[in-house]
This record gives sequence, structure tokens and C-alpha cells, in this order.
Amino acid sequence: MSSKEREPGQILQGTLDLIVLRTLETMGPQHAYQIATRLGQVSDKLLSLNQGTLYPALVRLEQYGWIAGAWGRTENNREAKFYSLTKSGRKALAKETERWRAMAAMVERFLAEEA
Amino acid sequence: MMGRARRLLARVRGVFGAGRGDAARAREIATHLALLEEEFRAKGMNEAEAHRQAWLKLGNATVIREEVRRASGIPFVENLWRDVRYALRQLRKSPGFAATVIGTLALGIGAAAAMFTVVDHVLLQPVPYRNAGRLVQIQEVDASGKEAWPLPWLDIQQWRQQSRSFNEIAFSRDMPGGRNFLVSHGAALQVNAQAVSANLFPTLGVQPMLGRGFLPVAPGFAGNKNAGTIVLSYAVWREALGGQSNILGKTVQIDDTPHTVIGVMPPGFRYPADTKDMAQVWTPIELGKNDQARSVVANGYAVLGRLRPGVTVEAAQAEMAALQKRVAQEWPNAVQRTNHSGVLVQRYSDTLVDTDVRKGAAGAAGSGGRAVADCQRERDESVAGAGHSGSGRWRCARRWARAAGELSGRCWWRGWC
Repeated sequence: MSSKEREPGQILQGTLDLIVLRTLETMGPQHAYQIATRLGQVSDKLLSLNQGTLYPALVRLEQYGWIAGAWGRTENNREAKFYSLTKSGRKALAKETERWRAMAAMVERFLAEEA
Repeated sequence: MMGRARRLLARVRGVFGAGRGDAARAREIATHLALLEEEFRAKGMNEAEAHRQAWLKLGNATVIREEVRRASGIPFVENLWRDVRYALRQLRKSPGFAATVIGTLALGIGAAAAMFTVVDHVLLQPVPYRNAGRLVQIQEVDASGKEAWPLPWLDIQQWRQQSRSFNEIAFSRDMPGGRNFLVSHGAALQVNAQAVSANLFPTLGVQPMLGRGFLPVAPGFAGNKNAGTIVLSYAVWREALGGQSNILGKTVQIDDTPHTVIGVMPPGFRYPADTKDMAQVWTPIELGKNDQARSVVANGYAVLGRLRPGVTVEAAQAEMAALQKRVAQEWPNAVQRTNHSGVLVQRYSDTLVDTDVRKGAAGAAGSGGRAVADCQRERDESVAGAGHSGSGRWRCARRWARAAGELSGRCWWRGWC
């Protein structure tokens, strides 16, 4: 069980940034809980991550200037920090997407060859 | 409801810290937890179970906090501070060791700083002149190498006529009075005033920034064309005369004697090079009755020569020593002939530090210092010549690195022995 849990975590390490950026692009400004929930939904629970692991990624992305946080209110009036994609974040997302696709295609070619 | 939110926040703060950045993070995470709890309660869990599950879902708080801090770049400073405190504690525990460490550090830093000061003064910024490595100071000495005084015009005249080692021989002395004041519009500024030969600026290879230098006239006892003129340092021009652009041709007074300004030297220029005060003025030497004989009351001059290309300091020294043997015979009495029997030709930049300091520097730095000096000379040449050349700079950098290595090696060796 534990190894199963760790594996998606390791994959996430490199791609969490990309996933967060993409989530903000499609969903608009989101707070951490929303992002985490969305992650669970889209990944079909494959990425059953501890939601707290999102925070380092948010801090990192905010420092890069790719996302910007602003305090606001949730539907039932709780204060929350809403993150949105910045201009340079949008650019970075495009670049990262491209990189990911190239990488995935390359790995895929190797796998096809093996078979 | 409000109470619960506050309790939650307090608990999250307890875990995530209460610093300024931490507080905001704690608020953010408290909301996150509250939303998770709501989610679990909606699934039918009781409050306690929902609370527990929310924290589980969030994950290991300590790990998250560390990760967040690492991502924000805090741990470096924190670790550093922790290391410093640890070191201080250890030092307090063992004062003997502490004293040793502090002493070692003090000596090390002090020695390095002293070396740097010497190298900086002696080799790095010695002389703001073109091709400064070819400038030499010429002194008269006795057989034991002790400097003879005064060095009169009549001897300089012989050197100018007979020596072959130099492109130019210039000479200068402090203007009489010791303390000189430049007066302009009723304001007075203390200046360092030098009486210089007309060829001093060409010898140094530096042109005035404004106006001109002294007219090239052979020194003589009749009044010369430069009489009554003055060249100002940049600092004097800026400070005492407000940097007026129409300064040329204006009159300033040095100790009640009026002088006509003919030029302003560029910023950073100074002569003699060891002058601390940047407020300097230069007036032309007018030879007088104290220059007409070799005697103890004759005016004494500092003499500066520019070596011809290809002539080494040693070669110039040899030529001048032979020449001075003859010149010394012109002195009226036997004691003076002995006292003035020799000359000492030294690279000008080497004369600008105390002998002790120079010996120390030379001893410790050895060839390292020479490499730096060579490098400096090359740089001077490239600066005054066609400008910076990239390859020259790299060669300098390599030489520097080698010199620094040798320098520290020798210092270490001497410190060890």
C-alpha cells in the first residue's frame, strides 16, 4: 500500500506545477481546497495526494511569479486565498505543456519499441 | 461557530508557526481544513471523525511546513542562524579554544588586510600616469647609499645633457612657504603647490583636461614664457572655483602672488603620486640665484625620468652612476664630492612606500608581487595606449591568479616557520 501511495507522489513532484497551472487556466481563480478537490476529480482519485503537498507548490509558483494569490471570501463566507494565473504563468504553462508533451512522446516511443 | 474557527486557527498556528508569513499561511490552511471537515460531515461523519479525517487528508503537518519553508527559501537563513548560535555556545564552553580561534582569525584577517593594503598602495593604484613602469626617480647618494641633499639644478642640467637612458628628465620641488593657500573671490583653500619643470606633464604622459600645460621651454635663468601661469588639479577647480567652464585665463592668487590659470588636470591626477591631498596646483619653476651654484643652500629638486624604450632600470642606473662620478667632481669641497658621488635610479612606483613596508611586501610577496607589478605595468600600457584589449585582460587575470596563489603560499610558509 505504502509503495503504491509513494509512486504517484514521485510522479507528482515534477508535474504538480504543470497540473496546478493548468487547473487555474481552466477553472479561473481557485483557493487551495478547490485546486486539491479538482485534482482529485480529474485524476479520478489516482492522485490521492495529501492535500497539504499542494502548499509548497503554491509557494514556489507564487515566487516564480507564475501565479498570484489574493485574499477573498468563499461561497459560505470563509476567508481564503484565491490563486490566479499571471501573464508569465500563462507563458510558462505553454512552455511546460510543450516540454511535457515532447517528453511523453519520447518515452512513448521507447515503450512502443520495447513491445 | 466563530469560536470553533478561532480554535482551529490557533491549532493550525501552533503547528505552522506564528511568524508573519506563517500567520497568513495558517489562515489559509485553517480554511482548507474547515472545508475538508465540511466535506466529511456532509458524508455523514460526526464532528470528531470529520476533524480527524480532515487532518489526515491534509497530510503530515510538519513535513508540509518544512517543504513550504524550503520553497520560500527560509531555511538557509534559519540554518545559518542556528549554526552561528551553536558556534557561539561551543566557544563559550571552551574559552581556550575560543581564544585560539579568535586569535587565528584576527591574525589571518589582519595579515590579509595588511597585505591587501600594501599591494593596493604599492602595486594596484600607485601612479596615475601613462606607461608608469618606465618612470624612474633619480636621487644622488653617497657611497653607502644614503641620500644626498640638496640635488641642485646644475647636476640635473648635466644629466639632461649627457645621459642617453631617458626620453625626458623632469624635476620639481615644493613651492616655498610650506603651506600654500589659493585665494579666489575672497575664499581661501589650502593647497599643495608644486614648482615643476615645463616638461613634467609630458614626462608623466598626462594631458590637462582643460587648457594646456606649460610651454616647452628650456629652463634658464632669464624670465621664461611660463612665468606667472598655473595649472590646477580637478579638485581645486571644482571646490575652490566651482568648476567654472571659463576658468582659463582667470587669475588666482597663491599666497598673494597672482597666477593666470592655463589648464586643469583630469580627475584623479596627482603629482607627486604620494600626495594625500587632491587639492594641488602646479606652477613653472623659475630658476634663481639659489640654482646658480652647488652648495648647501642651493634649491633641491625631486627628479623624475622617463626611460627610453628598451632601457632597463639597471642599465639607466649603470649609466647614471658612471656619469655622476664625473658630475660630483664639480662640487666645491671634498666632503660634498663624496656625499654626491653616486646616484640611485628607482622605479617611481617603488619609491612611494616606506622602505620597511616595501621590504616587508617584497619579502612576503616575492615573485607574486612582481607578477602583479608586471601585470599592472601591462595594464597601464594598454590603458594609456590603444585602450583595453580583451586578451590583455585575460592574461592579467591569469597572472593575478598565479600571483595570488604564490602570495598566499609564501605567506603561509612564512607564517608556519
